[in-house]
Order: sequence, then C-alpha cells, then structure tokens
Amino acid sequence: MSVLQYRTRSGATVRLSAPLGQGGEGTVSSVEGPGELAAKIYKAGLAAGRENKVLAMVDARLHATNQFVAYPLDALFDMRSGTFAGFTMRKASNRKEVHELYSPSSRKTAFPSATFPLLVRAMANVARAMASVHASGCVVGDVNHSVVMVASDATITLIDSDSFQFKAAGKVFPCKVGTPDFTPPELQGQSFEGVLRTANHDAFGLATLVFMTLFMGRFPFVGRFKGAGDMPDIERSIREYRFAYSNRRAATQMEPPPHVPTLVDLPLPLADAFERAFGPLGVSPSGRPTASDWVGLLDRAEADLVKCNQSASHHHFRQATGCPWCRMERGFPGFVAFVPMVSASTPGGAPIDLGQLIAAIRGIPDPGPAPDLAKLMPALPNLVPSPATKGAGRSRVGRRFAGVVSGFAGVGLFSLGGGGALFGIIALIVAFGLMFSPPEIVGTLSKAAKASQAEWETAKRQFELSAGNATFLKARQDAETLIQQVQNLPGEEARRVEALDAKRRDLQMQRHLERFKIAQAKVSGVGEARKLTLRSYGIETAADADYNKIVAIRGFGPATANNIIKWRGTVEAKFAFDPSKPVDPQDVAAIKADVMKSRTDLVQRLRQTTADLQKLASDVKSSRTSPAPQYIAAWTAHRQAEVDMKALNVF
Amino acid sequence: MSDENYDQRPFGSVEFAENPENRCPVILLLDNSGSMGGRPIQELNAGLQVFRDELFADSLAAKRVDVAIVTFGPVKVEMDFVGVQHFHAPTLSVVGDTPMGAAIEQSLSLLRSRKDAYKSNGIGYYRPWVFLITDGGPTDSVSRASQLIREGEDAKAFMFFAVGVKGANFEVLKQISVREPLQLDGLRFRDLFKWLSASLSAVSKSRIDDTPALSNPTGPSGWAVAG
Repeated sequence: MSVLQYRTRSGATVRLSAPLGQGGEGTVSSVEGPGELAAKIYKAGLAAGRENKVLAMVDARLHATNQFVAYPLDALFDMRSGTFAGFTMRKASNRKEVHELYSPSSRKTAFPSATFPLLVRAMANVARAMASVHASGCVVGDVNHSVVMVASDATITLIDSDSFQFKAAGKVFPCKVGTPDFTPPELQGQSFEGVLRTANHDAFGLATLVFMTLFMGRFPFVGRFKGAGDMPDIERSIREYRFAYSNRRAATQMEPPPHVPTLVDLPLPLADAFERAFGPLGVSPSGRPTASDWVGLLDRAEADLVKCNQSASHHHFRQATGCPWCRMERGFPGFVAFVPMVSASTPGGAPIDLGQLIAAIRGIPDPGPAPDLAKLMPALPNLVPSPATKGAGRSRVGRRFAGVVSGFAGVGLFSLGGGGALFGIIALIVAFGLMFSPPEIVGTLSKAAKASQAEWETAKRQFELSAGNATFLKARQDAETLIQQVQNLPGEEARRVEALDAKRRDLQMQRHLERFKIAQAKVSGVGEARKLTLRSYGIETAADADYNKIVAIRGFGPATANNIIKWRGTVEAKFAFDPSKPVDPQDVAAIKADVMKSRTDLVQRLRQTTADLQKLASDVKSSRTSPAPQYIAAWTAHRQAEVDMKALNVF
Repeated sequence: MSDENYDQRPFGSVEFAENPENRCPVILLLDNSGSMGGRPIQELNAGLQVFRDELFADSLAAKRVDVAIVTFGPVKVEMDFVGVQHFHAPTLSVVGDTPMGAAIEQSLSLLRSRKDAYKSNGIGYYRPWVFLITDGGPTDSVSRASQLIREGEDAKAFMFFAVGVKGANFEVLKQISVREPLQLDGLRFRDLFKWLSASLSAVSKSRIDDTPALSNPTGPSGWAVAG
C-alpha cells in the first residue's frame, strides 16, 4: 500500500496512482503517465507463486496478439528488494463488468442506452476475444460474470489474464480457479488441480454468458422443475444437462421460467447452438460450438434483428413469435426490458445541478392507489341471460315433471308391497335424483361462471399492479436512499481525511517498520530457511511481524515468535514521530477519487431514477384513463355469468 | 386449460424480471427483548446499517443477496425478503420477552415461502443462511425449532448460525444449533456485520479458488471470542 513505485525488468520506474479495484489476489491500480496502463500488484505471499507464469506470459508477447485481452505487458519488481510484485497491462478504461450489462436492473443505470442489438454485438465481441485467446494456445479457464469488461460501444476487454491456462516451451501453466455457474458438466464438482482445461470447456462458459445476455440475465439451468422433489441445485442441474429451455424436456424435466423468451424466439442456428453447448453431446472433445463458431452465429443473427412495432426501445429476432420484450412486460407489470430513449422529458434537458435533480425527483407526484376497477367499467345495462340458460330452464322443468311422475309411481309401487316395494324404492330414488340434481347444462354454466369469476379476480389484481402506486413508491423510496447517500458524501470525505490525519502517527510507524526486512535482520533462532518460510507466508518486514500470524505457520512455536516480536520491538523503539510531515497527499487523493467515483455513480443512478419515476407515474395514469380491452372483456364475461346464474335460480 | 382447472394464473413478480440473478437468501433473526436496551440495541442498529452499506457497495452481491429480518420479543417479521438494492435497514427498538422457538419456526416458514417464490419464478439460489443473534435464553419451548434446524441442516436446506451476546444462554444455543455457537466480543456488532457481508459477498460469487473464502471470526481481529 505504501510503496507506489515499482521497477520493470528493464529498470524503468513505474508509478501507480489511484487504485481501481481490489480482488482476492491483489490490487489493480492506474499507472501514471500516458499509455492507459494499469498494474496488478499481488497480495503479500501470493506474488512468489505467480512469478514464473507472468514472466513466461510477458516473454511470449501475448499482448501483441490481441488488444482486447489485458495480457501482462511487463513484470514489476519491488524497488528495494527486487522481488517480483506484479505486472502492467492495458487499462480497461470506461468499462464495466458484464453482469452490469446482462442484468436488467443494473443495465438501466450502467448502460442506459443499450439496446438488444448492442447486447448481440457485445457478445459477438466476447466471442472474438475468446477465439483469439484460443488461437494463441491459451484457455481462459475461469469464465465468469466479471472476467469480461464491457464499454458502452459494445467493445469488450477480457481481464484476469494471469489466471488463464498458458503453454510455453512444453510447460503448462495451469488455471486453478473456476466459477461453478460457468463450469461445464464434465468438470463440475472436481478440483481444478491437475486438470488440463480446453477450449471446449471455455465454450460452455461462453455459451452461458451469451445465453444470459440474450435472455435478460436468466441462467440457462434454472427454470421450473417438473420432476419429483426439490429442484436440483445449480451445480447438479449443469451436471445432469438440465438446460431449462431445451427441447429434450422428457430428459431435463425442466421448463423455462414463466413469461421469459424461449428458444423459439431465436434464429434456428442460435437455438441449436445452445442445445449443443448445454446438452450431453457437448462433452465430447470439440462437441460445443467454438468461440469462432459463435462469432459467425451472432454476426449472422444481427441481420435477423427487427424493430418491435409497439415499442421503440424493443428489437427482437425476426423469427420470434411476437415481441418477447412486450410479452415479458405484460407478464411482469412494471417491468421495463429496455430503457426508452429519454428525450426532452424535462424541459431544458436533464438537470445537472444536484439540488435541481433532487427537486425534480421529489416533484413527481405520487399517483396514489389504484381506483376500483369495477367503477371504471362500462355499465352493461342490456345484458340478457344467454340462450343456454333457457335450455337449462326448460330441461329443469322437464326433469321436475319426470321426477314427480316417477315419485308417484314409486309411492304406488311401494304400497303394493312384496317385489313391487323394491321397484318402488328405486323409483323414489330416481325421483329425488331428477328433482334435485341439476341438469348437466347447469353444471357447465356454473363452472363457466366460476371460471369467469377467477378471470375477473386475476384482471383486478393485474390492474392493481399496473395502475397502483406500489412500484412507484418503492422506486421513490430507493431514490430517497440514493439522495441521502449522495448528501452524506462530503461528510464521509471529511471523516475519512480526518481519520487519515489521526492515523498519521500509525502510518509513519508503518512505513518505518516496512523499511526493516526480516531477511537482513539478526533474530535468534531464525536462520535462512526460516526466513524463506516467513517470506513465503508474506512476512517480509517488521510491519508484517504479527504473533498470531507467525505461530500459525508450521514449525514456528511461541519461542521463535516471541523472538521475532522482540526484534520488532527494538525496531519500533527506533521510531520517532515527525509531526511536521504532512499526511501523504497520495492517500488524500485516493480518498477524494473514491468519493468522486461514488458521487458520479450515485448521480447517474439518480438521473435514471428520475426518468423511471416519470415513466412509472405516466404508465400508471394512462392505464387508469384507458383500461385495457382485456379488462373490459373479463368484466363483460363476469357480468354475463352473473346474469346467467341469476336466470337459472329463477326456475 | 381443462374444465376443472381454476388455478389462479399469477403475474410474475417484477423483482425477478428486473433481477434474475441467482439468490443467496439470508434471514437475520434478531433478539430485541428488553435486555438489549440501551447500547446493545444502538450498536445492533449501527451494525445493520454497516451490513447494508457494505453489501450495497458490491454490485454483484447487491443483486444476489436477499435479506429478511425477523425480530423476537414478540415475534415479528420486521422485513420480508428483499434484495439489497431495495434494502433499507430498519431501526429496531426493544420490547418484551424472548420467544426464540416461535421466532425460529416463523423464520423457517418465511424461508420456505421465499424458496417457493424462487421456484415459481424460475430463479436459482444458493444455500440460505439463517443468522440468529441473542443476548438471552428462550422464554418458550425450542424443541420443535431445534428439530426443524437439525432436519434442515441434514437436508442441506439452509445453514443456521447462532451468535450469543454476553449473557446469552449458550447451553440452549448449543442445543438448537448444529454448528458451534459463537460469542460476540463485547458489542462488536459492526465488525460482526462487516464479516457477515464479506462472507455473503464471497458466497454469492461462488468462486472456487485458492484464496481463503471466510476469515475466522475468532481470529485475532475477529468479532467473536471462543466460547
């Protein structure tokens, strides 16, 4: 953290500026200067294990093969000790993780202008980058939701190249990591240790990414499980080829989730490609469509894209049975598949001032709860019982007459006694049956009445969802939280800078301790071998010497640990606090940059929220003023059934 | 549709259309009985805020973690399941006794209906977490709750964690939890919730790699002390 300068192999100095992100393995920061470079610095203890692989990747000049893969450009070494620390690479500027693109909720803020054609293009670009990785003999291995960084023009960069599997001079540098959701069935549940990853394995992960992007973030192996018992978990579903959208329903026992697009909405070659990628045939070597196959498939599919004739923001494949996004928006009232172009919705363009933005959000009036749907419906005063009820009435009169006749006959026969009595009883039972059981037509009509009642209830609930203000209120509450967060930022910045000042002594001490390497120290009971062990556990300087960390290492007992801590004490004693030394401006700049990033992000989200709230309010209003025809149809059927049932009871 | 089928045909829930990511549900089962009054409840509330902020800052975890809060004393569903993007940490205040058994049963049924919602909307999920925090002992019977927990753990239907604040009845916690209950170090609720959000972030990414997923909460900088 404190050392922000590194040396390249040729001896050039590389200075790092603001950190861009932190991962499990280390920190990625911008490199100062032109060149648009970034540097990954490994966490202490992890660097040594990566040194050979990164050096081999640099030597292989992989970075020259494709500019859309962030391969290592140059290795970085500690200025003083010369130990390997990390590497430089091309910076993935202005790019966001791919899950922000495929997930509708994030897309709204991260890629507000992304259309379906852009999603298709972005995936073709992912396929291009991966095809080039494979052409250079590498395998991505850990395909996942954040290995692809997307720009708003649909170009992409593959990152985490240091985890790729890579071959050089007959030696394989393996990829030991993976993400189960993107791992093919043949590798599910295994350790990646000693597994040779192949391009066909990557092809599974690629197909998963493409699928999720084309299907509104839906995961291919999750759907409605038709088998007995609980839905199998995700890893088992992959292992058992339960592709929820597959035509092999008998085998998968899965159906797609409700209201979402299906394979029918795709050009046939794309649908086939998904079946092959996710089905059992994909397991055989090169069984799945390759990355370069996907490039062709997606490029050709672009030519099949057409505009929806209902909504300007919707595009879909020509082959689809109607617009899948309209279908989804009907199935999920309140859902917006693609953000409609926000043009001139606020006079004078979008407000830039935060105060104005907040005022604009709070100024959008709450449309209030949904009115009673029945009150909005036409009166229908002229409804008459349908012809079927007349037939039912007649047949009921006929039955009652037959019942009475049969009843008299029964009483007559019974009174005769003997064998006649039995027939008499039978005739009486028939008589009761005829008198009181409704004729078949009545049953059919009352069933229809129940059905139309259910339809009407469903319609009322749908109306409440689309004309009520629940979604609006929720969105407004979210907006208030965002406002609060953005208003808290200046305070947060001041607090963090203050904390930095308060920690000045600690930081100076930290830097002081970092100057003392264990490797150069004389500590009783700690020889060269032990020093090496300590280094491999990331304990290199006095600053790293922590009792608990040391005793956790095999072969280091309390006595040795105490000696090291004692040495640390002597180093600490040499420290003198210098109050004139200011807080490191780098640290302040890092805080400011971080706060600025949060602010930009929050303001962007607030802008989007303004547009969302406006759309929600106007959608709610328009569904109140002109209730959709299906409500009137449900209402008419329901009222008709009521009239019919009334007519039946008269007889 | 057959003649006999009058099943309701539900509309999909917009939250699952907006955000179909696989979910990692977590229930916070929080004791707000009288004995939590004063500093403990303040620290717990501050901890909840930290929990929300940390998860919110991780854009993928924010989409994958679903949170519900059940308080007990008396049992109340303070907040039904909600994604982190829509999660506003409530401010809890203290009330009556400690019906822990009923609270556990209530939260497990809440979990069951959430799982049903995932299933009917075609949403995948990871093994849910139920996280109990208490400073006392139950004032009702926990025998049924303990049995439900044992069955659920055996079936891998969820993971149950119990954390006792000083003064908690650890004998009972040991009885109901299959995992060893942990003791909170003082009132370090913020550290606890920081740890919880970091753990959930890691779990929700479900990555297999060589970096340690969860740090030991009883470690030197952890929030728990060995029972």
